[in-house]
Amino acid sequence: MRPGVRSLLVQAGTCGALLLILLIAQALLIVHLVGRLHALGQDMAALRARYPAGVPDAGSLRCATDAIDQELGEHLYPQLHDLGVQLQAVAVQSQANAQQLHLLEAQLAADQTSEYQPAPTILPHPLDWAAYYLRDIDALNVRIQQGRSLDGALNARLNHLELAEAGMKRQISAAISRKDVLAAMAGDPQALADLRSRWHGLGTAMLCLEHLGLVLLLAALSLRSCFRLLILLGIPGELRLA
Amino acid sequence: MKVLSQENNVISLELDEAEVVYFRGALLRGRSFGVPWWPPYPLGSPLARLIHGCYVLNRAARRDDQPVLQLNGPSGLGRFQLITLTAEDRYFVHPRHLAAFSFQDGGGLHTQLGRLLSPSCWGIHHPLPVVVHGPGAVVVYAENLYVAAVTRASQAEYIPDQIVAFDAREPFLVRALHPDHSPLSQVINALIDDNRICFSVGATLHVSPINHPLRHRWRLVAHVLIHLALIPLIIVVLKAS
Repeated sequence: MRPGVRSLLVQAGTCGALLLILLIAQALLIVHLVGRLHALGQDMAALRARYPAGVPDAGSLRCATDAIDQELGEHLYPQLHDLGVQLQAVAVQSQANAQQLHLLEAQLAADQTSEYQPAPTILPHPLDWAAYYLRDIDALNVRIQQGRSLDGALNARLNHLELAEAGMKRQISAAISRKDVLAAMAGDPQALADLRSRWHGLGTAMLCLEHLGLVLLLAALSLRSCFRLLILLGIPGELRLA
Repeated sequence: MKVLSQENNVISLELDEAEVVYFRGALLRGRSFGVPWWPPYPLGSPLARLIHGCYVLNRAARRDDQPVLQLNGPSGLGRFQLITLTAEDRYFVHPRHLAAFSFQDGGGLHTQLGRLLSPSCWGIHHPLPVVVHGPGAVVVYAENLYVAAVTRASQAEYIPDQIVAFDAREPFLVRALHPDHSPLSQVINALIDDNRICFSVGATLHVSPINHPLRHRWRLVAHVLIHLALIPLIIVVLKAS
């Protein structure tokens, strides 16, 4: 190896190591800061999408909380109450129908096991006619079928009402949590101001400026380190400023 | 503009007809001229002048009753030098040492933005060098200021802080501070942000021979402190974001 090349390599190894460590650290920081800048821009875009008309102030937040309260009191809670009443009525009806069905099925089972009795040649007494008719198996079967279909309809109605009640409860809990969030926002003016500042971009702009300042400072230091390395290696030639 | 008399720390300038001189107000005893509203040459090297405290200057024009402008420096060791420029002349001037100037049409201060990517300009600590274009005149002020004419190669090396002004048409070369190639010297070269500026024989420079014995140690400490100070700054900014 030629002595000049060897000397250049030795210099690059000794003085370059220090400067290279600085350069790598500065480059990593620059990449990180640029990433933070990108995240800040995204945060601002998300805030703009969430509050297209601007972040509300404490007064309008309180109005919104009152509106939710009013909606809860005038619509949601009465609807839930109505659903509960309907549910209870249908459940009672379903229970009565089930009991009647049970009785009819028991009677049908008893009739099917008892001995067949032919119709009397002499018409029975009008008071016994109904009893005689009820004992008729065909008629019992018809009534049982009707009872079962009514039971099915009542069960479907019951399921529908239960689903409606669950949906209403979810709606109420969402409204309550929304109200809590709005009340918390209205009660924390600092957070609200911060949110408004981020929405308007003032806070973001300040952060961006700080980040950009750091990036520029680091870039200048990196550039200086690069050029310093070149100078230490004796690479720059003669220069005339004019 | 002509030099009428020059003592240790005082210079008397005779102004030409219709000549307007801009100068640092601190250099005028009595300050009878007042500070103008609008800075002279607002676009002539504004950042460099702002950084070195000569953005807003006092203004003096020749008057029949007072054709002489006398400037007094703040330091007992201070010296003034008048550099007269023709239309073709180009001079590099350190803005910190700029005391007064007067330009005719076509002359002025210019920052060479294109030198930002020049290692040599970073090496003389002026990534954006200020070059004065003639015709006109510039007065520079520095402690123990003298004009050095390079006659031998051994005299032609200076550190950047010693350079007050030089002819921008003269070539120069930037080299590491310690010329030997021992590893210790290389490490010191890497840590101390200072260089040698080598001028060719025949060059004329305005030099202020400041060389404090602890200067290099201070530069080493400052260089390390800059990087150490960056760490909490970065942490604060990252936490704030």
